Amino acid sequence: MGDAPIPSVVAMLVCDQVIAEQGTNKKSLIGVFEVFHAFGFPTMIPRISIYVKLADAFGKYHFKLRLVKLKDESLVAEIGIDADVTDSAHYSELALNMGNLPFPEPGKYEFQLYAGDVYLHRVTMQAVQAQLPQGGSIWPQPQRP
Amino acid sequence: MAAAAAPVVTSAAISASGKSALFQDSTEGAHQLAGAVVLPRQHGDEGYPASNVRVEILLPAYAPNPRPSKLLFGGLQDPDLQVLRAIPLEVGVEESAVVVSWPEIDEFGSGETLSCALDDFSHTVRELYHHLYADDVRPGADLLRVRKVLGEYIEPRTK
Repeated sequence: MGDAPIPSVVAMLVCDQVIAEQGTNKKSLIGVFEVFHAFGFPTMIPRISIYVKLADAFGKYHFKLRLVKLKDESLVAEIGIDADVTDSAHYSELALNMGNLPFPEPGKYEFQLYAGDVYLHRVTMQAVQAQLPQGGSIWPQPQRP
Repeated sequence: MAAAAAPVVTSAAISASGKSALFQDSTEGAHQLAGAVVLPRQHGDEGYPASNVRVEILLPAYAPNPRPSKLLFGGLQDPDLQVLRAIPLEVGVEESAVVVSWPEIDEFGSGETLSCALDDFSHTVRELYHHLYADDVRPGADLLRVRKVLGEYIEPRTK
């Protein structure tokens, strides 16, 4: 991070996908969520995105996004992001679309954001064990005439 | 199952906030046609745009402990205040609670997890700063020292 100022996180959200509009660069957050269900664990989320809006960022940063299991505060995954913020006149936005993120067991998890080694913010989410419907089938059986 | 496939980052970008002054540059954006705004042609077959950030994924075995014994803190969460220098904290566990402390001014925060303790610490420091820098406060020698230390790490936001 060097001499770059410590950014402040104005917003941090988890969603299915972040889309940036061509031309304006405005972001659309699709499917904002904080709880997800799975029939079995460990599981992977095929598509998950993190949106972060930052104030006071300017210069080169090495951001770290850590997925932490809160039950024992163990690390599930860490993603390093090298970024160069060149526009200090506006808020900055970090949009990260990811896939295959593992969740070892049901419970609470947290995405923690660091700028270098400096803790900035976190967002919490919950993985819930879904129950199979009676009969044990996830999908309805095809009806025969 | 989870260990079989590593997480992937399909796209990552950092940018200035989107601008609502829509399509000011008529050569790249929309153009005016008989009084109606015509949006630019949408390109669906170009795939993901080139990323302007570099991303790497570390597996837990190679990443540091998420609850270290020392931590630098910069997440004050106050719209009126800006962190000038990262606040050095010590992290410990007392009974079942995580405790973070700033020995220089003897302030601490506690909670069920590290993040909860940091939230508590952040709340304490915000209140202390606003109290000590209020116009009608006449602090004693000890609190004057605390105020001086706070001022080295935190300042009012100017923009």
